[in-house]
Amino acid sequence: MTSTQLRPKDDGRPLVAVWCSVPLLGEAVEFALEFAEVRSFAPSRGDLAGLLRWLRPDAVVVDSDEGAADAAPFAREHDMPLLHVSVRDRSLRVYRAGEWEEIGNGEGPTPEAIRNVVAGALFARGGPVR
Amino acid sequence: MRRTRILVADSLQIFRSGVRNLLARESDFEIVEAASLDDVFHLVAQECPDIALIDLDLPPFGGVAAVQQLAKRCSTYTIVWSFEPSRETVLAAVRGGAHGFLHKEISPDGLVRALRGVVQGEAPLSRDLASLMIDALHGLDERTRARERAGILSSREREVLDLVAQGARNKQIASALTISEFTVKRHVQNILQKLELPSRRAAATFYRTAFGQEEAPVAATQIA
Repeated sequence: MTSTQLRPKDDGRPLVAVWCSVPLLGEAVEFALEFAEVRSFAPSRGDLAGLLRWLRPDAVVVDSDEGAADAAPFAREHDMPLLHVSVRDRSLRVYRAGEWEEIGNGEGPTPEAIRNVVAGALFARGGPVR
Repeated sequence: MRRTRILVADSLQIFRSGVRNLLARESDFEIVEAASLDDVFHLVAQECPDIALIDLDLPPFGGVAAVQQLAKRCSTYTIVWSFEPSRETVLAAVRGGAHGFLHKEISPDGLVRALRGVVQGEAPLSRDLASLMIDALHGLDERTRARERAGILSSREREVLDLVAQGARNKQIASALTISEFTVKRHVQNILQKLELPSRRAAATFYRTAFGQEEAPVAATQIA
């Protein structure tokens, strides 16, 4: 059962949680995922695992190693796309089937790459991308 | 109403997109983007922005160089931003002509406030960065005072002190400067007396405060 099935949304748009210490990353993800409802959270506000259990997003984007480690169990359990965007290291990786995979061609984490990865993952699992 | 034209110069597209998404909600701003200094030149050839938000690491020469280049072409208010800047970095940017310095971790509301503040003539500098600036200025004051004190030394005494600061012994100094060890001792005594310092170690510390790493050691190769 996917998190989308657990928590259907009124407007049918996928919900993407952004857990980031760099707030402008949330703005950039919102820009990239115009098809989704994007909600940003600051790491100082609590624990990510608890947030994910409560929010049940369709995808999650984090910007720290700690966030990536905290979100991975939930992502694996619910087959949820999980992206780790590091603006300091200029890298983008995605968590798939229990493994982290580096994405991109050296351009750093672009909005297009984020859009492609999230949209692709949601389509693949029959998510609500329109 | 004329909108404030903001140039976001950052090699990371995700930052440019973040600022674009943020400012698209504000009716008083319009945004143009640059990924490098070349892009900046191309854009300002058409129209100078009112405000430029410039990444400290903007390719190819960095944000401070970009601020200086932009200042030659436009009367744009320039703000440098970066992650975890050091006090030297902030000071270098401001001395290079930047009107402000921001953390890249700034909140969206904070960035909008900072940009509107610039329009009203304010210098955007977060409280912690202002403290860093003051610390850096104090450091400069200390260096200036130390250099003034060092002005009473003769050029030979200055050479001796340089070698003392490198940890050279009297015998090594004598060899490097082709003088007797006895003369070196007299120079060291004079240095300590003139500068009112208690020891060679204090003299070495004084020298590093005054001249730091900015000047190459006068006789570094001579004692090697």
